[in-house]
Parts: sequence; C-alpha cells; structure tokens
Amino acid sequence: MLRLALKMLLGDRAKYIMLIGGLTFSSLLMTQQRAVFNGLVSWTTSHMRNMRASIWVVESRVEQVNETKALRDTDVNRVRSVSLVDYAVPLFQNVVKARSSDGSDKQVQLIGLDAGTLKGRPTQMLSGGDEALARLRIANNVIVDVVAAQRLSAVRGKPLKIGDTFEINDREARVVGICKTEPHFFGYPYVFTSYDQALQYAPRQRKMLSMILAEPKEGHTAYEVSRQIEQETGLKAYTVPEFEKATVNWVWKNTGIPVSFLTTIILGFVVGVAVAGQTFYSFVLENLKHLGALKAMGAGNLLISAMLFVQAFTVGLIGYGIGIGITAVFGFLVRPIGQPPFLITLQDLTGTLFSILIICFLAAVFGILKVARLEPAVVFRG
Amino acid sequence: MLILFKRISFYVAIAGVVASLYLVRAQSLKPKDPGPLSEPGRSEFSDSVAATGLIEASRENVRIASPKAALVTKVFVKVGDLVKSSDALFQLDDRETVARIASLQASLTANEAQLGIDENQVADLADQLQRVVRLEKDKVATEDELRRREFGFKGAQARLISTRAQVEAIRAQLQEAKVEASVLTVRAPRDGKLLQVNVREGEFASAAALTDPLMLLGDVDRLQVRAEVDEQNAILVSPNQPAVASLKGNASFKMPLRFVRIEPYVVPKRSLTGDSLERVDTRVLQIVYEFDQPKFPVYIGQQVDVFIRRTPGVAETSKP
Amino acid sequence: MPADLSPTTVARPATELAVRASGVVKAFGVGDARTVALKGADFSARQGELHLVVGPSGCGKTTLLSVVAGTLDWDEGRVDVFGTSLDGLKRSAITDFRRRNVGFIFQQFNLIPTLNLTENVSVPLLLNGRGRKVAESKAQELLKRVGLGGKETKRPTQLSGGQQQRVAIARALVHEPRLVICDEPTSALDSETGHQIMDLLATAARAPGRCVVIVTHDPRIYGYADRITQMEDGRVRAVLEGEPLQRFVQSTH
Repeated sequence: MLRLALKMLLGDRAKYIMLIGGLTFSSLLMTQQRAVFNGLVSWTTSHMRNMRASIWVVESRVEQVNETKALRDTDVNRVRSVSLVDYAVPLFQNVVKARSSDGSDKQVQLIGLDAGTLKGRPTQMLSGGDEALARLRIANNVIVDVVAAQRLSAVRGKPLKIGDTFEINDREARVVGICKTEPHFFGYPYVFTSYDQALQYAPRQRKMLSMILAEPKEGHTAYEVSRQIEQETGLKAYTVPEFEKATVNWVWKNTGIPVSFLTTIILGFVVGVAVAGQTFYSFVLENLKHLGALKAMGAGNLLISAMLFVQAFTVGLIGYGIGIGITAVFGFLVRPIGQPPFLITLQDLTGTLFSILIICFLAAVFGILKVARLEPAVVFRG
Repeated sequence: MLILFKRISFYVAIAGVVASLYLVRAQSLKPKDPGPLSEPGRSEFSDSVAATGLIEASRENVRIASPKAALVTKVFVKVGDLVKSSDALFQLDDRETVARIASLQASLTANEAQLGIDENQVADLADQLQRVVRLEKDKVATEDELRRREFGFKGAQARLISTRAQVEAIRAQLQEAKVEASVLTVRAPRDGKLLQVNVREGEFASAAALTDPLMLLGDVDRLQVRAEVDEQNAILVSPNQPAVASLKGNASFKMPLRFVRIEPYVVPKRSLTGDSLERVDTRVLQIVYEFDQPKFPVYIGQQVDVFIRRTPGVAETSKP
Repeated sequence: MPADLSPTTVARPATELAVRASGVVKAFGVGDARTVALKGADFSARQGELHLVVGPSGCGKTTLLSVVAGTLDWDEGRVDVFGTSLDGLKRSAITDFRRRNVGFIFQQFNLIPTLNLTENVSVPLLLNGRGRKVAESKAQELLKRVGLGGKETKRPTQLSGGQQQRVAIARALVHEPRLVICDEPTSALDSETGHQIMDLLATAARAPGRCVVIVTHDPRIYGYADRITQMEDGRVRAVLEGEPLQRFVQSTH
C-alpha cells in the first residue's frame, strides 16, 4: 500500500510539482539564509584565518580578534619564557591610512609580521610567490591583497601589480606580491609587511606590539598551553576555537546582525511551514475522497497515517535535495567573488533537513487528523 | 520505491545533496598553515627565560668624543680599520695653537739672548768689583768707588734672575701650547676596530654628548651578548645558568653562551626605534654572556634571541 | 462468466440470513440541527441474494446501508452481519471486519485516478496483507472477468463511466467478500451500461455465501432484485418478494 501511496503522489504531476516547489522553496530559503548568516559570522573571524596561529596572546581586556590593545615589547619574551610554548613571535596590526598614487586616502589593515619566521603570512599568493615573502624583509616592501590592489590603484579597473607603489602615512610602500585573503569583517583591505617596517609605517605610539602568535610544544594542546601562558604572564591567550567563539559572541552581543538574520531564518522556517504545509494539506484535502474510500474498504488510521507520512517525507526529501542543490549552485557562483558572504556547513544541511522533516511531519499530521476524523460513510454521499 | 527512480526530480534532489556536500567540503578546506618560513627561536631547555640580546664587543664599545668643539681637519682612519692604542684617529683644527707656538718660540729665543747678555754683564761687573775690593784694601780706590761697584753688580744680578724667570715662563707657555696641539690630535685609547666613523674632514665636531658618537671603537676579537630580561622575569634568572643565543631571523644559527655577570642596575628598556621622546614603562635586567666565535659570522650590534635556563625551583612569575 | 449472465426475477430459496438489522436508530447533528435519519429500521438480507433498498431521497436508505456496511455508528438497535454482531465492536474491529468481509461499489466509482486499473483493483487484497504479485495477478483475473482484459495498465480517467464501474466491481469482488455494498451503482450510467453492470452484480450475488445489497432509486434495475426493501422516512415500509415484487417491478416500468 505504501508503494501505492507513493504512486498516488507521483501520479499527479501538477500537484507533485507544486508540492516539490513549495518544499524546495522553503529548503532554499532556510539554507540560503543560514549560509549567508554563517558567511557573515565567519567574516568576523576571517582575520584569524588570514594569519594562522594556534595560540593568540593578547592584552587581557581584548574580547575579539578585530580589536587591538597594545602589549609591551618584552611581553614576547615573557610568552617565550612559558615552558610549554614552542615558539612565539610578535605581530603588529592596525588600521592605517594609505594613499594611492592618485592622492585619495583609504583605510587599510596593516599587518606587521615577524621578519624571520613571517608567521601569519598570507597563505595564497597570487603573484610574487615565495620570492615576495623573502623580499618582505627589505625596507618599504609590502604584500597587498586583491582588495587592496583594487582600492589603492590610481586607475579604476587597473589594480596594483608588482612594482607599483603607494604611500602609508607618507612613507613609500612598494608592492612585491599580491595575495588572496578572506574579506575582513570591516571590509579593510590587507597590507602585509615586516614587523619592523610596520612600526615605521604606523603612527608612533608608546606601545606598538599588538599580538603575539604562539605555537604549543609538541605533545601539548593549544588549550593547555594557553592556560599556562595566562597563568604565567597575566595576558589573555586564546586558542583558535576560543577566539572564534569570543569574537562571535562579541558580535552577537554588540551588533544587531545576528538577531536580524535569526529573524530571517525563523521567517524562512515559518514561510516554509506555511507554504509546504499548506500545499501538502491541500493535497490531502483533494485526495480526501479516495482516502475515504480506502478507509471504507478497511484501511485503518495507522495505514492511512503511514501512507501520508510516506508521501510527505518523499516530497520533503526531494524538495530538500533540490533546495539545497540550488543553494549550492548559488554558493559555487559566489565563491570566486567572495561576495556576498556565504558559508554552508554540515550543520546547515542537517538543520534544514530537520526543519523540512518537521514541516512534513506537521503537514502529514494535519492531514492525518483530517482523515482520522473522516467517517468512512461519507463516500456514500456522492 | 523503485518508481521514484523514474523521476527526474529524484535525481535532481540527489544531485543537490551531492553538490551541497561537495560545497561543504570545499568550503571547509582551508589552505594549510604554512608554518614559519625560517626556524623560529626555540628554547633548548625545558624551563627557560627568554630575552632579547644585542651582540657587543667584550670590553664595552668606546664612543670616541672630541676634547673640544672644533673643526675636523683630518681623519686618519676609516671604518673597519684596526688601530693600536694611541694611534691618531682624527685631527682637530690646530692652526691657532701652531701660530702661538711659533710666536712663543721667537720670544724665547729673544729672551734667551737677553739672558746671555745679562749673564755676561754680571760676570763683568763681578770681576770689576773684585778688583776694586783689592784696590780699596790698598787704599788705592775710594770706599765710594767700591760701593758703586757693589751696587752695579747687584743690579746686574737681579736683572739676570728676572730674565731667567722670563725665559722659564715662556718655556712653560710653549710647553702648554705644544700639549694643546697634541690634544687636538684624537688618538685611540686602546687597541680595537673602528665600528663606526661618523665624522668627516671639514665637519665641526661637537664636544657635547652625542647620540651617534664621532667614532665607535670596539674590540672585535672577543664579543659578548647583553641579554635583556623583563624585570617581571628577573626573579627567574640566576648567575651561572647556561644560555643559548640564536640569530634573530634565523634561529637555526645557534651559539652557546657562558655567563659573565648580571648587571646590578636594572635599566629602562632600550628602544630600538631610537625616539628620544619615548616614554618607557619597562625596565630590564641586563645579563652579560660571552661566547666563542661561531662558525657563522656574527656582527656587533646584531640582535639575538636568548634563552636562559630557568633557576631551578622558581616555577613561575607572579602575575603583574 | 459475464456472457451467460442473465437477469433473474426468480426468487431463490434463502437458506440463511446474511444481514440482520433490527430497530436501528441513527440521528445526525445536535439541537435544532438534529435530524433523525433512521427511526427504528429493521432490515435483513439473505445469503445468495441480490437485495435492493429503494425509496425516495432522504428516506434513510444510504444511512441504513452505511450502518449495515459497518462504516457508520448507529445510536440504537442491533446489527448482525454473517453471524457477527457489530454491536459494541471497537472501531478497529469493525474496520478489520469490513476489510475482510465487505466489498464496496460507489456511485462515483471512487477509483484512484493516479493508479492504473490493476493497482486500483488490487487495493483490497493489499489492504488484507496480500503480496503485491498475488494481488496483481488476482486483480488482472478479475479485470478479465468484468471484460476489461488488456486494459490493465490504463488509468481510470482513460475509461468510460461504465468501464470505470466495472473496475469498481472488480475491486469490490477481488478479495471475495461475503457482503457487497453498492451505492447507486447505475445512476451515473446510461441504461444499457447499467444493465451490463447489473448483470455482473447479479452473477456475483449468486456466489455461495454472498449477499449483494444495492441502494438505488433507479427503477430500471428493479427487475434484477431477488428482494426489495422499500423505505420511507427512516423506516422500512415493506419488503417485497415473489408476486408482490413482480407487481412492483412492473408498476414502476
């Protein structure tokens, strides 16, 4: 009978397409919104992925990765002195004013890397390659990301290339390499240079060290070492997941972005329930005559329920698959551009699946209640 | 269930799931952490204190200064020259002094001549007096004549003393002028290598204390490392603990250090930005280590990462 | 075999009662909207009998049929089908009973439009837990018997009304029920088709131990009845058989 239930569903092409359409739409809406939301949330921590380190040591009041509170120079050595730290290097980061050769000012995220190790250097070099990294140790040389290359160019549509120059705080900066980075949460383009060079570029302050990147000794977890650093130095040490969590929490607490997106996701679910539930319910109503006949012929409520569940979950799963498929196509399209934010995770897929199953369950239950209340005798009324 | 397999929608859905899973995987793949480009500074000890060190000459570098503010007329050395103690380094303008010496010399000659004349006169008058004394005994000469001769002799004697004193005075002045002239030639206070020469002929050398000395003289045969430890970590350091230094920028170049001394005075941290207006809130404990010349070249003024073995028993610092 | 089916007006000896309902009362609605459809109806049908229930619209004949078929609860009275008392049986027990023992034929055929004929006909067997293969071969056999051999994979919508009703008959008989309930089986059909359908039903009624009850107000088919129960205003007015039946049939022609 369940096979026949499936046939009853698939037999009516128009209704079937309508059902699939409704569920595809809800699936698409939910997954898409979640992916964009994830993308935005992941942007808040993109800074960390652009640099890479197991442990991030910052001033004790720093709550998130995009925030800078300076440390004292000697803190690098204090972190190095912690016994479980394999090595630690200084990092400078600040937003500084850069001037393109046509004279317009742009804010850029300046990153100063430890000149020896270049720990935290860009991972995806588009041009310049390893040679550019080596040349970073020479004065006035910088590596810019694609965004910076576009924004700091004098001629629109002609991004900076190797050998071009611009100014940072009235000092010359020569491009030796171009890299790809994940977009910064605040949209600043990245400019990488050596730590010492960054100190020359940046406006002078009493304390210039922004962060210390550290790695744990082999056989010890980043968590363990972070706690030891905190205990011994009084600085704040974050592991990657901790810093990401702290950053996301900060965004959650201090901006309205998550709430607005959450609203959209909830709306997506509600619209999904409404559209899919309504479509399926009307499908049940249209089949009520046949379901009544089946009931008269001796089909129990259990069997009718099972049939409706099979139908609901079938359209649900197929609509779900198509919906996430369309989302994925969207994801593949925006991937090379990096705009708008888009990050789809396994949790999103399972979340949407779960939501769709709930929607289908509810729709089926509504249908079942309708059919269960149906007296089989109605079929005699023509 | 088989009837589902006849449906395009079924395959579209399967494709959708596969595509999403692929996208999830593709998006979760991040380029690997490339790791440090060169070997980072690592400690060889299980518990250590990290410090920043600066390589310097084992006897501290001598900052050569000018004895007085004057024009530099000649520089005898260039950067990298090895000099022996008292070798001339540079010459200040000495024309004035030389002229004074010449004038004093002339004056000395004149006065010495005068001294000769005066001595002669004293001898002559002494002889006349002797004779007059004898004649007076014989009562040939009058007492009046004797008295005149006596006074004439004493007067000439006094003149001689005066002239002699004048000659001595001029000699002393001459000596002073010559000393002055020699001071204008600045000489190496000891053997060493010229690490910096910041003065050129024709420049004016200030006698004040300068950020950049006129010349920097160091002993390159024996180098040492001055390691600076944050004062908060000072408690972790104790004398005679072994230490290892590695070159900043490439820590695969390592050299073992031998303890020399701990500087007893904690100093404000030297900032390498060189800004004189800088306010300092960090003081550092300086520890001096010596080392043998490693197989790779090291230079005075080079920065090194230093790891010092921690004092056993002191586990951790107190929180600031 | 459908070919040698012929109408019969001869009452055959009734051996045993197939259905017996006595004093059945059924009311719909509450308060002012309350209407009493059955006011103590007594009804009985014998095994091997083609039994017609006739009467004007609203006389309660469909309600009576629904009660007898076990598809409707009733308020008072006793209902006994093939020796099984439906009184006080649980709904699920009645459902089980219906599934095994009752075949249904509806005025609007109520075939599932998205299923082909074989599938439509095999539904009662599948409901009774038969395997798909067994059910479909039995269904195809039945389709052949009602003259629709070769159309097994057609959809009901591709058939004429008469053909659809034949499918419905095949469906009603496929699980060999003892009681076949028909609600106005011919009223949607033209006269000739109606006769063909009645031929099939009459044949079916002759199977041993079976009883076919038809609710109708189509006088064209009165001639097929072994007995006719006349209803009026929720009560049975008369049960016609033999001579009176003949007279009644002729009077309505």
